[in-house]
Amino acid sequence: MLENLAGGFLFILNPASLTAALVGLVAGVVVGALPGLTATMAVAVLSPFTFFMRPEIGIPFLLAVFKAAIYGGSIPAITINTPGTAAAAATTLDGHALARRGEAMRALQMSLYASVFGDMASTLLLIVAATQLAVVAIRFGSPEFVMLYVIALTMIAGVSGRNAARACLSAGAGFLIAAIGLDPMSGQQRFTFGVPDLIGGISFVPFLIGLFALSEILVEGENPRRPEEVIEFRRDEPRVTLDDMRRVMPTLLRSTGIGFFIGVLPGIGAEISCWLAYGTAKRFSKHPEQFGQGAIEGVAAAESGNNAACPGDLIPMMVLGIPGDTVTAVLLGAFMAQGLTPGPLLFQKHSVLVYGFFAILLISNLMLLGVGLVAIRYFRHITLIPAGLLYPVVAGLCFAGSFAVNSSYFDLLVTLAGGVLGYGMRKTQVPIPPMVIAMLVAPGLESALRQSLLLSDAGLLIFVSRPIAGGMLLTLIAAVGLLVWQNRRPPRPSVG
Amino acid sequence: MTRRPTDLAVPIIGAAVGGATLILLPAQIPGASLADVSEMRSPAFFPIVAATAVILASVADATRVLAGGGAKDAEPWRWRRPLGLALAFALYLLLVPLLGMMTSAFLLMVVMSRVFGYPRAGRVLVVALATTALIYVLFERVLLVLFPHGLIF
Repeated sequence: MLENLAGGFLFILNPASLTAALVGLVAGVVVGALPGLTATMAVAVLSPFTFFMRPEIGIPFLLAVFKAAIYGGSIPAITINTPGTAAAAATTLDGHALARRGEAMRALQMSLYASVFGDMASTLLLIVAATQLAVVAIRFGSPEFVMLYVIALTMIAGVSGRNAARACLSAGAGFLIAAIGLDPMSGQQRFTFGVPDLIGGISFVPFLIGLFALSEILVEGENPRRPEEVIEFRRDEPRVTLDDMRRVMPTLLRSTGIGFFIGVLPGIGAEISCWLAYGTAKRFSKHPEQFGQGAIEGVAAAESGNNAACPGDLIPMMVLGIPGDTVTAVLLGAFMAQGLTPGPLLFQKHSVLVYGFFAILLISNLMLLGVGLVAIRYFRHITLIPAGLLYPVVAGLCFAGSFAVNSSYFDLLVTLAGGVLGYGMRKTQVPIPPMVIAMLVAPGLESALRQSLLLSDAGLLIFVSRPIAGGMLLTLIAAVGLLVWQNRRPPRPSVG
Repeated sequence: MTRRPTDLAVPIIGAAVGGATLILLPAQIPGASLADVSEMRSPAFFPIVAATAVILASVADATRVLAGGGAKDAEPWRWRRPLGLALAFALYLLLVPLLGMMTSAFLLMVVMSRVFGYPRAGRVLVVALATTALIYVLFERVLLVLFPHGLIF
C-alpha cells in the first residue's frame, strides 16, 4: 500500500494537478462562504469544466472544491451567524458567540485547524480502509452487489426524509428516470418517446445542475436573504494558542472518528456528523454549560466532525460505486464522465490514478491551511454579496455548464426540468438524495438483479444461500429494524 | 396539524406517473407487456418493478396523509418570485436559438436581478456583462465549446 501511495504522490505531484487543486480550494472556499450555495451545488456547477481536463487534473479540482466548500461554510457561520453550508450549522452556536465577544479570529482559526486536522486524519483512514475493502469487494458477485445497492438505498431512504414512503417514491422515480434510454442488456430503446436526444438517456450532470442549483435559486427567490453585518476584527484579538490546541485535542480525535464513520454510512454525511460530533463533545466536556456560549471545543468538534466526513463519504463511492450522499453522487458522475467506473476494479485497473487521488487529498489538506488563512482575512466580505447579483451569475454558469457537457441544446431543457422538479420536491418534502442516488445506481442494480435472477432461475434463494449475500441480507434486516425503531422513538431534545 | 393540498398531490402524481409508465409500456418498449415482470431478459422487467414500487410508495404515502400525517408546518407558499424566475429561465431557453447563448445569458442575468428586486441597475449591467464575457472566454476560447450564436452575437 505504501509503495502504491508513493507512486500516487509521484504521479500527482505535477504543476497542472497542484494548480487545479489550488483553484478548486479557492473556488470551494468562496462557494462555501456564500450562504445559499451548497457544496453539492458547487461540485455540480463546476464539474462540466473537468470534462475537458485529464482525470489527474479534473478530479483533484473537484475533490478540492468538495472539501474546501465544507470548510468555507464556517466563515459566515462565525462572522454573520449564517452557515454557508448545512454542514456548518453547528459551528454557528459557539463560533458566532465567540465572534460577538471579540474572539472572531480565534474561532475562525480554530475552525480552520480543526477542519484540516479532521480531514487529514480521516483521509489516512480512507486510504487504509478503502484499500482493504477493495480487496474484499473484488470477490463480490451480482447477488452481493444487489444486496449492497438495496442496503445503501434503504439507509438513504430511511434517513433523508420525514417519512419513508416519500423517500421510496423519490427512489422509485429515480429508477424510472434512469430507465429512459437504452436497456443495458439488450440495447433496446425504452421510453424515448421518439426523441433522439433521449436515446442516450437523461444527461446526468445537466439534470443534477438543475436539481441542485436552479432549484436552490427558485427556493431562494421566495425569501431572498438580506446581507447582514460582518463582525470586524480588532488588532488585539486573541488567537488560537498551543494551550487551546492541547485542550481540544481529545475533542478533535473523537469528532474525527465520528465524522469518518458517519461519512462511510450511506445517506448521511457532513450535515449530520457536525451535530453528532458537537453533541458528543458537549457530553464529554467538563463544562457543558459553556457550549452555545462560546466554547472553543464546540467549534473544534463541529468543524473536525464535518470535514472528517468528506473522506469517509468517498469510501462507498470509490470502492463499491455507491455514492453515500448527493456530493459523492455528483463526483461519481464526474468519475464516469472521465471514463473511470468506481468500484473494486478501479483499484486494479487504475491503481496509480486512485492512489494519486489519495495523495492529492493529503496534499490539498495542507494547501487548505494556506488558502484558509488567506480566506479568514480577506474572504469574509464576500458573504455580503446580495442575492440579486449572486444568483443571476450562478444561473448563467449553470446553463453554460449544462450546455458544455454534450454541446446540446436539449440539455438546457433537461436542466430547467431538473430545476422545476427539484423545487417541487423541496416544497413538498420529497427528499432529493434518494432520487439522485437511485438514478446513479440503477444501471448497476438492474444488471446485477437481472443477472442474479437469471443465474438462480428466477429464485430468490440466491440472496440467502451465498454467505456474503446472506450476511448482507441480515444487515439489511437489522438496518430496517433500526430505522423503524428510530421512527417510533419520540424525538430527542436538541443538542444546542 | 394542517393538511395542505400538496400533501395529497404528491402521492396522486406519483401514482399517475407509475400508472402511466405501465400503460405506456407496450408503446414505448416494442414487444413488451406486463407479463415481462417474470422475464428477466426483457427490457421491460426493471421499469415494471420500478413503476410498481412508485405506485406502492404512493399508496403508502396517501394512506399516511389521510390518516393525519400531513405537514406540521404549513408555511404559506410564496410562489410569485419563483414563478417569475422559472418564466425567466423558460424565456431564456426560447431566446437561445434566436439571439444566441451569450446575449440570452446577459438578458437572463439582468431580468433575474430585477425579479430579485436588486435596485442598482448600473451594477447589474456591469456584473451581467462581466459574467457573460467570462463565460465566453472560459467556455468558447479556453474549453473550445461552441455555443449557439444568434442574430446579434
